Amino acid sequence: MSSTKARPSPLTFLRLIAALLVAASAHGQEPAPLTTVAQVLDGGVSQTGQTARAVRVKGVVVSVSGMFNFFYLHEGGRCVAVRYPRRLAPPALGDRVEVEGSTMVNMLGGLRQMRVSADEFIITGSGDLPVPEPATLEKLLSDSAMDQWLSCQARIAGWRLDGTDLRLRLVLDGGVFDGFVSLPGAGAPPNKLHGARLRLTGVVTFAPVLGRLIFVPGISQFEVLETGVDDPFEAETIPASQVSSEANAGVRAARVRGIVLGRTSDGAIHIRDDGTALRAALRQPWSGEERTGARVQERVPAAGDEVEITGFSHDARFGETTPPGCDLVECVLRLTGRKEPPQPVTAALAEIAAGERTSDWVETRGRLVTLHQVPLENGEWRSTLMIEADGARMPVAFRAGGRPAFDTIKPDDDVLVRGLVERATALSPRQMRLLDDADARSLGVSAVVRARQLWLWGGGTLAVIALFSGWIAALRKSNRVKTRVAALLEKRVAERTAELEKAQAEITRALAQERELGDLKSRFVTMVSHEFRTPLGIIMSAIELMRHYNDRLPPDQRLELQNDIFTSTRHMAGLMEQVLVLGRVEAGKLGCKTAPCDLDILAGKIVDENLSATNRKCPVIWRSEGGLDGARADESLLRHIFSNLITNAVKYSPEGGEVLLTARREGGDAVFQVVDHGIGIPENERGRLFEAFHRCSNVGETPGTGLGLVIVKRCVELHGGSVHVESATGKGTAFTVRLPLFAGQDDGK
Amino acid sequence: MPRKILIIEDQATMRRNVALMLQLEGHTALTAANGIEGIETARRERPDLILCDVMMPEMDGHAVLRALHEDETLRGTPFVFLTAKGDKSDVSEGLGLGADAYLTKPVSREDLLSTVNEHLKS
Repeated sequence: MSSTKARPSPLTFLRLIAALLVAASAHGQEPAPLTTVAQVLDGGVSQTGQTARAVRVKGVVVSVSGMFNFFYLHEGGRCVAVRYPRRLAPPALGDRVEVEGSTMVNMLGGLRQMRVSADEFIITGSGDLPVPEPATLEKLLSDSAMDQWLSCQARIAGWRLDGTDLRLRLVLDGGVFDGFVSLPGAGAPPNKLHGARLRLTGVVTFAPVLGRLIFVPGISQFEVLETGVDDPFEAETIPASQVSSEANAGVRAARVRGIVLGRTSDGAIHIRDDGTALRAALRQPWSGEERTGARVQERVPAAGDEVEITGFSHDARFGETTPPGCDLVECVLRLTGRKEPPQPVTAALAEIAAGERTSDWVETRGRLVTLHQVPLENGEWRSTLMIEADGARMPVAFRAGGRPAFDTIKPDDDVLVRGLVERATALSPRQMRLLDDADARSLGVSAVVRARQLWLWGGGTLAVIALFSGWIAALRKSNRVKTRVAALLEKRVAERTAELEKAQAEITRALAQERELGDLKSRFVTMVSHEFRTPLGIIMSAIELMRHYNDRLPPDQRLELQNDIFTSTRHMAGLMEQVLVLGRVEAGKLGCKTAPCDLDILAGKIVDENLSATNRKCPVIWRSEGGLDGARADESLLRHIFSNLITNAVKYSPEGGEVLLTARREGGDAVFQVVDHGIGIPENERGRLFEAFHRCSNVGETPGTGLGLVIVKRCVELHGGSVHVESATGKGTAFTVRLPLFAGQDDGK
Repeated sequence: MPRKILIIEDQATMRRNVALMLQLEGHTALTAANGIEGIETARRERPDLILCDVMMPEMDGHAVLRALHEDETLRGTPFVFLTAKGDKSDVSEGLGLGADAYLTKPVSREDLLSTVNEHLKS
């Protein structure tokens, strides 16, 4: 763990002189004040302090990557990555260095990491590497571990060599973590890595694609405490019954043989060996990569396959496995043969609920207490059956796509279920998991319930007979009264049934509506944020160009940037206007308040406004066909309707293409038409025209939100009218809006 | 040392502004208005880094990244998404495909340049 070198060398002095020269030539500026590594790192937490600032920082070099010309500088328990210019030779591990440079922000997804970009560094001495802080898995996964110099003890569940980089899948404290070891010079990793116990020392960091890992600078920080095996299947086989007993003593490498019982939808595999069953989590491959150091399974194992599994026993004291409830984690598997499909073990529900058949495939009977079938976000349905027998209860789970799985089973039925038994976890009670929807079937109404019903019915019938005898005796005299009572009863029953059916239909409809609304809302938010980010991106880039390079930009380019800002701002304002209008419509805040309205003047105004907003791209002609006097209308609704229709007509027309707005009176209605000679609406898309965010396939790059026509339709409906469209692709479109603006008046003229 | 950076972006103004900024920083900026053009330019010009939008007609940014990964000679070229798709799921999807960084619009000059400089291999 130590690296001592005879330094400083003459090179160091040269570098020192170079650094002094650079410092002296830097416009006579003072060197930056000395900062701690912690100050550099924490500077990145603030969202506002983004400006690169000059820093001078001292520390010990704890890892070096000559290939990517950076090293990790350690000081006060924390490390920062320092990128140095390629012209400089890399420092050595254990060197004490002083770095001069500036901070920089490294963006990785949502994570903002601070780095130092060094202009110069000088080596002031060398010595041992700092003593790392020992870490548990919990510590490694915590936020405070980031950039820290830590050590941990772990077993290797898998490894892969990429050139001189060794990637490790580690098992420690019953969980999983990744490691990355740089092996320049060392060539190959040590032998017998699989299952080996190690002490690793390194920096916890976040790498693109690889995710969070411990970066181990060299082979000297990679200490093998106990050797493993070269081939994971070389380890001694133990019976499945011993895995659980060993688990009590901490994480151990284990290799077992068995017959595959099945796989659950969360990816765990269940096997049975000589009467003992196990649940195992297979190792997830590294992103998009094949691994070495273990044989790769060529096909997904199925029930009845004979397999060998080698993995690590899980110690429940250290938290939950992924997927939950596994006896073995990070397993690799190989097929060794094929047997007849296994049979489920028949067991009493009470026995299963007591944990005696955990991980096994069982068949049991019980009464269905409740059945919940819930749609999930991914389109699947989750069904949970609560089964009861002999006073014991147990949930039975099933997940599948498409539709609710169990439509023939009803509460109080006696059901036969076969499934895999999962252990209780922190998140869920002990439960059975069905592999197929045929694994639960009804045997008819439960015997217990039938006996109870029989008793009730028997008693009830006797009581009814006695009651009826009394009634009949009392009412014998009047046949008419009896008929009336019967008719009344029948009517009441029919009414109640109809009410119930209505209520059920109502609830179903409300649920469907709510789901649809939820979908629409999330689509709305995504779309709106995307639509705003695009013009914001343009505005930001234009402003940044003017802020930082104004004196180097020619005047016409500056003007162009200003115009871009103007156009994008106007686009955003229009978008916001539409979103707000739609929001008001949806919230029921936009009503219809009619007042006397001069349609001729209003239409003329809307047309003029549009001509100026579109820079007179197309001539828009307004033509009254007479009889429009005396109309009563909500002017703001009319504005929304016609400004949207005309804007669309112009937007999708070629430059100079004529757009015509006409209006005439037909009885109590005003009939408006907006006709253009633009791109038209494809026939198969007309049905979706008024859907929010739907935009036709032929709009190309014409900007738009997919909200204009939704607003038109809602406003027309608010005004008690109708809208329809005729169109020919490539030739043009005509929207006809019919509004009752002369309701209750005699036909004009 | 000036480096060659390819900008694949369908929005003309954004494309021009990003290119202009990188040129003013001393880089050579190449531009492409869609994915197909972007891949052709990348094959022909071998840029040192690619900045790519996600939502584009013809071929989107994800498809561009996949196509580049299939090309032996371009696989190692640093690839940065610059997009209006800013959901967490979009970011993790982009990084999951193997992008080196993911920037969302609007992006500041500082974030853009520090990301570009970080991923330009010296």
